[in-house]
Amino acid sequence: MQINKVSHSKDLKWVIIFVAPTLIGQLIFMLIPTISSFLIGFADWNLFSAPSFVGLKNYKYIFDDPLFYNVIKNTLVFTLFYVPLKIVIALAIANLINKKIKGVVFFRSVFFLPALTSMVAISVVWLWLYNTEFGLINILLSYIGIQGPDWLGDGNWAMVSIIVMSIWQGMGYAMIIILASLQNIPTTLVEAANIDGASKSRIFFSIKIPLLTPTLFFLLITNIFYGLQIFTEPFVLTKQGPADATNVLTTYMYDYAFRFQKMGIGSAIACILFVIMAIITFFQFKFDKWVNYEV
Amino acid sequence: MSIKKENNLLAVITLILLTIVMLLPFYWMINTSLKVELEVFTIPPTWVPSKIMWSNYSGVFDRIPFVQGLFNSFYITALCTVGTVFFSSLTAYAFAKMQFRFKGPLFSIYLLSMMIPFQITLIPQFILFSNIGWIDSHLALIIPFIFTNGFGVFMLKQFFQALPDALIESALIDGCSQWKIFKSIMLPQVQPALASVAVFAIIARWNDFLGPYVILISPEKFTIPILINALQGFFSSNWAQIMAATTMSIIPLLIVYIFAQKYFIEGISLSGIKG
Repeated sequence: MQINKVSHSKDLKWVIIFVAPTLIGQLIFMLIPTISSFLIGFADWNLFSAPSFVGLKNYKYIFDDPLFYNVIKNTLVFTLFYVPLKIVIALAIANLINKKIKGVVFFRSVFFLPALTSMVAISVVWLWLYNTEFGLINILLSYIGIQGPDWLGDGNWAMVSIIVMSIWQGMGYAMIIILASLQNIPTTLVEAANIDGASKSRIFFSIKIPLLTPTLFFLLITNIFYGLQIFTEPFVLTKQGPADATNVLTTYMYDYAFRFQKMGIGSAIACILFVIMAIITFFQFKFDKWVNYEV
Repeated sequence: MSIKKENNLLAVITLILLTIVMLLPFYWMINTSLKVELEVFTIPPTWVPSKIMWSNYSGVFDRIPFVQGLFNSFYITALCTVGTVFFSSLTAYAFAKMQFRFKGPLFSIYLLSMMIPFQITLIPQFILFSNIGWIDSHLALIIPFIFTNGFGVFMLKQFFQALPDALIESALIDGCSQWKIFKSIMLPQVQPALASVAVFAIIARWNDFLGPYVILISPEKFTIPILINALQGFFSSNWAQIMAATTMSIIPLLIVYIFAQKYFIEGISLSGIKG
């Protein structure tokens, strides 16, 4: 008993040494800022004078702003196209590479290369590729007799351009995760199905896909969150334009906080995003039951 | 048998086409970066530069503080990676193997931090940094990152938990200190997870944009992504030099990847399975 007590108090010293640095960090840089953000959302504050409490005025301002609904629409359009397309393409390629083809390591690296590169650098390169007159994409299209549009300057094409670039950039990353899960599927399962005469597509849809559900679900959730939070792509590639056609939640928030110095409205926008994400997290736990976790 | 071979051939052709799609933008970037400025705007375009202009590259150094930017990005990434791997593993070990009060509620703070979008903390952190003089300072990019890696703590905790308690008990009886047990016995056994946390920190820090963009003001403090974003301001539409600078910005991480490919692939795969 005596010994136990001594070792326990010693333990506490170590617990404090091991945990305190990150715990204090989490409090100062995550928890307190998160709470502050909700509070600042109720204030009028330009950082140069003292904040004043304004109640729900910021939220009323946002919900009265027609641009806000446009921004929500743009964010959802991006997410709804980006997430499923990216995952389906990544799944198809992972399944292709998973066959015993020589050079898997090479292909894997090639597909991963854009994901390794910063989104800023990618956006600058695609800014050049999308150039109406001299960009590679319109030049290639002209070879087959198509006159390409002004990708980034045309409101109908700007969001398409961002989605295409983002899928190209992030697909390899998703593919590596799916490939790892595919390689975890016991070969005996696939072989047994083969012997029973199951077709390739039958094996894919009835054996592989069900076993991949945890991974696909993980990718679905993380990518929805990514989609709702995009910033760099519209900020660098299209400057949120033309005419706000690619203005999304985070660029909208950035404008209020750091261009117009309205910290209250900026925080309120961040809180709206947070609530949207919290709702998705809630549904995530509900749908979690349908995911097949036993292998 | 022949059907199988045909299938394989089809797969290879598809993969080669995809490879072209993935690499063409990079090829075009390098191709443009080596052209004479006027050749960039010729129609039809040249697929190989008629004259290789290395001066596009050297010109970058004359016009923007590129070397300084490389140095900034490099040391910020290095400090962040080493720091966050070290402090995250300390905390993860305590939560996995030590008994203390309020363990559950305290750990939920780390889980919560993974769900908080960065937009939420961006404005209050900015206000905090402007009050303590961290605006235009690299400290604002290094310190918060090191100590708020909820993902790292979560992932490492799962790995520490999988290790047998008997190891610790016998070491305690032998008179080892907790620090020594952690450092010499436990840490080496979670090496794949450490590599994974490090890989994510390297990619995140090297490529980080919004944080540094909001905080850094003086060009000599800029990190590489901030410089790349500012290229059009420096070079207007001199695409040859813009592409030269962009090419150079990609190379450092590419070199790291080539040497540590195994850790990158393993690390990312782990995040999908354990995360």
